[in-house]
Amino acid sequence: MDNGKILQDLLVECAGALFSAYNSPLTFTGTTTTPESQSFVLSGVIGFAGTDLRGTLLLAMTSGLLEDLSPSSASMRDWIAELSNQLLGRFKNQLLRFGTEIYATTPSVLRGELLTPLRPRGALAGHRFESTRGTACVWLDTEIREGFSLGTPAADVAQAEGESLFFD
Amino acid sequence: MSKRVLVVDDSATVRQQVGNALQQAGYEIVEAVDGADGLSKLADNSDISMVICDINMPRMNGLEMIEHIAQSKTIKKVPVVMLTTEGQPALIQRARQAGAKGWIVKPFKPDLLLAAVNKLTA
Repeated sequence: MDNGKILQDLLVECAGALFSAYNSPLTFTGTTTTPESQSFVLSGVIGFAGTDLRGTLLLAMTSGLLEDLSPSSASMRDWIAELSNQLLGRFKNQLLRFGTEIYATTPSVLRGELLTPLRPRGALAGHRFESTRGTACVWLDTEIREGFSLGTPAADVAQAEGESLFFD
Repeated sequence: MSKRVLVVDDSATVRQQVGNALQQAGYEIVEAVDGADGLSKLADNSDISMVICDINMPRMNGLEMIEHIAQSKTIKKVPVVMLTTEGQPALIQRARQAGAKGWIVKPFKPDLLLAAVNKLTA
């Protein structure tokens, strides 16, 4: 399986798990390069870099869904930034199973409408998740070091999300 | 008198989430937006009983903050638990060596966080 597909599949898996963790099990409805027609008012953008991989993750949501998922009354800008941070965190922890490490930037927030991330040869594939409250879409744009292969993942390396560890 | 917990995170959402989980049990929350702010709040509030601290923050990250606390002769040593998206064993070990008492990977379960705070502030 090629590196690109492994990474995109991993992103979809992590996004699904993140939404479920906030008691909002969105349905994954597909991957498309067709420009999104949803009015994504807010999106979190977070970069990452490592020896083997570098790139950007983008998480966009319609406003009703974003509010629905929010665990506090803090601003929606802050919330989507934190969500994109947690999504990249999951992705990063899963990458450790493939023996590669990335370092995240501080998330930024974009406000706009009709978002369409692009690559040099066309639209970046977006992974769409939906519920009755709205739509989320995630994009991952990566550069992979020439010669690097993700290979077969090992068992979980990182501490699992939601788990606590206490030291003596 | 309520016990005071310092919550250090650049996300207002997370600070509020932690606050909601602990205030219901009678804890008072002090907030800081990064490690440097956290050190300042600790220096100004000698009655803080515990710190809950993110790792990745601007200006000063959480590991730098707890390493600072470990080396400080003036800041009171209180239990610190890391609350972060990071799960990498090497970082966990670094936090442990710097004196952290625990590590929770986000998103946290409110009842587990409260149990940890109850135990470490007892």
